[in-house]
Amino acid sequence: MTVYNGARIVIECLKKENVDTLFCYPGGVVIPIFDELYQHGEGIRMVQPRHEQGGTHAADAYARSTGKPGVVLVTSGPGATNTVTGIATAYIDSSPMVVITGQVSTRYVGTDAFQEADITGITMPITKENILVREVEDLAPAIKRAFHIAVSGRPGPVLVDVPKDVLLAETEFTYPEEFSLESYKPTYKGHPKQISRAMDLIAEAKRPLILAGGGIQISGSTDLVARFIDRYAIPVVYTLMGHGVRPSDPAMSVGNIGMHGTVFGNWAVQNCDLLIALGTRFSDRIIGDTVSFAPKAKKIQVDVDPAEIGKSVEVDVPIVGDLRNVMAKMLEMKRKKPDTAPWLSELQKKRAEFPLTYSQGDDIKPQFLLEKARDILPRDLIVVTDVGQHQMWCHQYFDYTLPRSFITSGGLGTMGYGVPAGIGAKLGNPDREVVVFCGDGGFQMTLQELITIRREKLAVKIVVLDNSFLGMVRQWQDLFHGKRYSGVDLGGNPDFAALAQALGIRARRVEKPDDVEPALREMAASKEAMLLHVIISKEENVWPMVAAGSSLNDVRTS
Amino acid sequence: MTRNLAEHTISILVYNKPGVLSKVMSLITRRGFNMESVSAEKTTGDKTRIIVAVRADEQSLEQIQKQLYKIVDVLKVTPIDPEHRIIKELAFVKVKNASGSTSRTGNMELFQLVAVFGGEIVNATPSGFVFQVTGSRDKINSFLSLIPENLIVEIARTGIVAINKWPSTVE
Repeated sequence: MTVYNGARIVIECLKKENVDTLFCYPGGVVIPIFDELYQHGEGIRMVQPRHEQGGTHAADAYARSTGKPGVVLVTSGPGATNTVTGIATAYIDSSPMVVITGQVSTRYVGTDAFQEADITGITMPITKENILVREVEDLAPAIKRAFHIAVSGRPGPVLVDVPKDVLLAETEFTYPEEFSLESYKPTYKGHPKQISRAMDLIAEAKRPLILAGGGIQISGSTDLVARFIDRYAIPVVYTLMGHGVRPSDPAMSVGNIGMHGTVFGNWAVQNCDLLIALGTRFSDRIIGDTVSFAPKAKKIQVDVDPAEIGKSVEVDVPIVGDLRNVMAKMLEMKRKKPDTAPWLSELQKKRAEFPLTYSQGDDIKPQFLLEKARDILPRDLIVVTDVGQHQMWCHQYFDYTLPRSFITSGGLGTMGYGVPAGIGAKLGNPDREVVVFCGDGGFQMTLQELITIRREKLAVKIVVLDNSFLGMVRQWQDLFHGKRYSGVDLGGNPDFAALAQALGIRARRVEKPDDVEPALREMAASKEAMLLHVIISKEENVWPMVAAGSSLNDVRTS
Repeated sequence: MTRNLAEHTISILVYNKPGVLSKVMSLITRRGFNMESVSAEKTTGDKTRIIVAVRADEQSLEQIQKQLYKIVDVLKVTPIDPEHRIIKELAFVKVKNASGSTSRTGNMELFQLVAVFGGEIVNATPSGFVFQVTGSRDKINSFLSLIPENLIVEIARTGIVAINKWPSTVE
C-alpha cells in the first residue's frame, strides 16, 4: 500500500499519463506540488513561463502540434485567472489541455481568502469540464477524468482545482485504469446508413467540393482524406484550421474559404453542387452570410460533436462520428467515381484568373517576405502565428503539406498567442523548424516569453512583421470607417532586435527588400533562437476580403 | 425575421454533483435562451432531475438539447411533449385579510376563488391567509390575476414539474 499526500498524487498521476512537459508557475498554495516535483519529478520537464498566460498558450500549442494534451500547473487566484485567455483560446479551437490550479484550503473557500478566485465558476463556459476536488480520495479519479475528457470526443481543455488542504492530506494512491461514465459517451462510429447516403450523393455529384476543417488533423485523418480526394477526384478548399491535407495532385487544392479566402476558393464553394464538410463548425468567418452560403449545394457534414451539426448551416446528410472512422468507412464503400473533369477544368480557369497578387514597392511587402520565407524555410516547417493581418498572409502564402504544422488561434483570435505558442510547438517537435510569425501588436503582448525561449534553450525562430499599426483593425478602419485610424497607431515601437538581444536572443533588423533573403537564410541556418525585426510597408491590406456577414459572392480584391 | 418563440419544457436528468445545476442554468442563459421556470430535486440514487421551461423556436430547441448533452454530467435530455404530458406547478399566495381593507373583494370571494381553483387555505390568521394552488402555469397565472393586487403580500412558486405520459416515458 502506497500512501501519498495530494501533491505527490498529482505528480504520480502525471507520470501515469506519460506527461513529459509541464508548463508551471509556482505560488503559495501549490508549493507542496513544487516540493514534490523537486523530489520526485523525474521524467517531467518543468517549463516555467514568465506569465501564466504564456504557459497556457505554450501548453495549447504543444497539444496542437503533437496531439498529446498540454498540461499546465498554476497557483490559485491570479495564477488561475491568468490562464483564462489561454483556456478560452484552446476551448474554441478544440485543443486538449489539462489545467491544474491550486485553490485555497477548503475551509476558506467562499470567504474571499487571500488569492482566492472561483476558477471553476469563471471557467465554466470555456472548459469542456472542470472539477473542484474536495477530498484527497477524489484527486486521482478527478485527474484521470480530466485527461480522459480532454482528449476524447471533441478535444478541449479541462480544469482541475485542488485546494491546499487536499494537497497536504494523505491517502492510499491508486490510479484508475479506466474511466467510464454513463453520461459521457462520444459517438465515434458514424451511422452506416448516413455514410451510405453520403456516398450516393457523391457518386451522383457533378461539382462536388470538400470543405476541410480543423477536425481532419485533430482526428488524424489527413491521409485518409487525401486518399479520398485522389480516388474520387474531388477538389478541396481549406478553412484556417483545415490545412495539412496533401492530395497527390496539387491542383485538387483550390485555395481557402472565407473572409480572407481566395477568390476561386470562395467561388468554388458558391458554385459547387455538393459540399462535403469535414470537421468544420461553419464559423461566421468562413460562411459570411448564412442565407446565400453555398446556395446550389447539397450538404454533407461530418463532425464528432453533434452540437455542431446544423448549428449554423442546415445540412442534408449529417454524420456524427470520428472523422477517422467515417473516412475509413467511406473509403471502404465502393461507388462509381463522379465525372468531375469539367468542374476541375473550370476551377483551373478560375485559379488562373484570380491569383493572389500584390504590388512591389521600395519597402518590404509582407507578401514578398512570406513568399521568400516559403521558398527558403524547410518544407516540414511548423508555422506558428499570432493574430491579425500577418496571420491571414501566412494562411495564404504557405503550402501546408503536413498536419499539425500551422498553429494559430482561429476561433478566439487571441493576440499574444504567437511567441508562447512557438515555445510549446518547439518543445513538442524539437527536431522540426518552428517559426513564429507575429505582428508588432501581438508581439508586445507576450514578448516576455523570449526569456523563456532563452532559458529553455529552444531554437525558436521569430519574424516580427512591424508596420507600426494594429494592421487588421486599421484595415477595417480604412475600408469601413473612412480611414479614421483610431487607437491603432503603434508608432514609436521599440527596436525589437535590440530588445531581443537584451533578453539574450540573437536578432537582426531588416528594412530593405534586398535584405530579406539573406536575413531569412541566416535565420534558417541558426542553430539557436533568432528574431528578425522586419519593417514592412505600413498600410498594406489583406486581399481578397469578404466583409463580415456578407455573401461569399461579394469578394473584394482591392 | 419573426421567430415563433413558444414555451417548451425540457426534462434533464443529471448526476447529482456540486455545480451541475449551475452548469445547466449557465449554459441555457449563455446560449441566449429565456428561461421561464426551473425546478430540480434528487430522484433516485445519485441522480437529479431538472425541469426547465424555455422560450425557443424549434431549431433553437434542438440546439439547446445538443448543447446540454455537452455537459459531462448530463445523462438524458427529454423534451416534454405538450400533447402528451402531465404538468404541475404549486404556488403559495400570501394575502391580507380583506375585511377592513379598501378592496371591493371580500374574504368570502377569496375563499370561493380558492375553492373554484381546487386550492387550499393552508394558513389562516387575523392578519391574513396563505393559499395553495396547484396546476398548470396558465391555471396559476389566472388564479393570481383574479386576486386584487393590493391584497397580495407575497407569492412563492415551485416552477413546473412535468413528465411525459406512458408509453413515451422520460427514462
